[in-house]
Amino acid sequence: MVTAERAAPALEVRDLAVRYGSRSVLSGVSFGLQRGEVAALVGPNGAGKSTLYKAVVGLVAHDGVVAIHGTACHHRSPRWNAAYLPQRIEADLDFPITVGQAVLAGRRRFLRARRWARTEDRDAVHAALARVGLDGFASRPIGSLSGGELQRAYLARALAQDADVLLLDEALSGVDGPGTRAMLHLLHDLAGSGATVLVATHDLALARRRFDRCLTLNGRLIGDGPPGRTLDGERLEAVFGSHLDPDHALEVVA
Amino acid sequence: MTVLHWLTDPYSSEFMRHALLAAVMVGIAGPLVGVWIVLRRLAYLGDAMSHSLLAGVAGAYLLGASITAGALVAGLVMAAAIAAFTLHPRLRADAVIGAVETALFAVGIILVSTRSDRIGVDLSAYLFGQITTVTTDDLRLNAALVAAVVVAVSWFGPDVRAATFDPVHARLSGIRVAGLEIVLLVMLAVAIVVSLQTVGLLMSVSMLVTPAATARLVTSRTTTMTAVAVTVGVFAAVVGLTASYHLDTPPGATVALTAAAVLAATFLAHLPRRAHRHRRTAFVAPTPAP
Repeated sequence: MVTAERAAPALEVRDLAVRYGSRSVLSGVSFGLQRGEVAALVGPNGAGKSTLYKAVVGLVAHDGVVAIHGTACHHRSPRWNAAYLPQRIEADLDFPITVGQAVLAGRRRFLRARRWARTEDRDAVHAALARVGLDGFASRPIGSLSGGELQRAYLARALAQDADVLLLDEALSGVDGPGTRAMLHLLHDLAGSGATVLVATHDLALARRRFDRCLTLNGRLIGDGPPGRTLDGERLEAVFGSHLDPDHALEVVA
Repeated sequence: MTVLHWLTDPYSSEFMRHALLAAVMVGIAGPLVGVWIVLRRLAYLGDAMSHSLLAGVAGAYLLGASITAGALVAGLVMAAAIAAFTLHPRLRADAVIGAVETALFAVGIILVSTRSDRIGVDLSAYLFGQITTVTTDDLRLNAALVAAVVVAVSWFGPDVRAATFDPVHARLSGIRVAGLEIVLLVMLAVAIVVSLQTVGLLMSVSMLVTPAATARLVTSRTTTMTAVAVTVGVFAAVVGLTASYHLDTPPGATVALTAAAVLAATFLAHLPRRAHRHRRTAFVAPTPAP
């Protein structure tokens, strides 16, 4: 028998609205992502993609409902099952911390009153690093990683957190072609294990070719469905405000 | 005179043994907090906090109260004021620190000016340190404060590390980042109070920042950095105090200068290694094409 909680989407957003002062940034955004689903979030600069992510993880106050695995989240409460990889990570890369220590920060929810990591926490860190292909990187300084390795280390931190809703905000920007392919392969692999992934991207060609579902956003949700339907010329014009050829839009938008 | 005699001769008298214990405590407390001050690029905050404590020192002197308690109160007032003002999104921390520091320093100056006939000479002991007047009670109080710093650094260290490295993720992990800032400010005030009699207010920042900066040159791990900083702090305190006895120089200034000398020596010791690495890279890079 399928319970109501199991049937609930991994991530559900209902009538989400965010205002910065008197300015409305998002309004009436509703969608749901099922367990194991990988979707792209597409929209121009200022469309509210980062704000949507911040609202989902509780970094900004919002109206509407954010529910993870059927449980509605209270405003600004920690949302352990969701991990957010921001567009520009504000981490101090000169900070004297190893990759292992950075990934261990993902275990904070399990440490609680206990301050020090146990063997199970360290095992989880090593398993997460191995999962993202950074086996053997634990003792390296975080500042020594390349851009692509850094993104994978942050993904490992999310995995160490046991988060199964992964929100990547332009996390593929600045990653080269092979790196992007490896990262997407990894994300689909994680989805195969039950993770739910939402990737924000400017790259329309990438969204069209590598994702089965695209959400288009510009202050409100404009399209939601397969890229062939959501990224057609007319709908793109509604999202970006000008005509774009979806197959050659990368150069125009990026 | 052997090195052993040079090191032990000054400590035949009780007041110098007290001074040594006080100096070692500064060498522990200052770097423990200083590591986080340096890693958070807040050396200026240490300087500002030390100046602001003048209000507490002068106020306590005029009231006949404990100087240490007065300094602690001023430190807590500064911590609370910084925490309150930085709640406003348009006020950045550096501006708030500058404003609060000068306000409290101004209060101190005004308090000093009200009784400049007798307060000036006595206050100089707290501005520049007067380590040879440390009593057993002072040592007990300082030991309690150092223990509080050690406990706080051990307890909050992992969270401070996470919040310093990636404040957004720390917030998402449930760490109360704003609360940690207040804890750090209070620890800073306590560390400076511990150094009041040893190096004095004006040079207390040297025992916060210099050992931590030295440690940063030699390690890429926060735990190792903390251990190295405390080692450098205790070394500078002991050697500086001993040297001041033999050279008849002010103890606080000599301790501060010893810490600076260790920093300079460490910096120079690491220059050749860097240059060598660069040379080696330059040598390897132009591999001839086949």
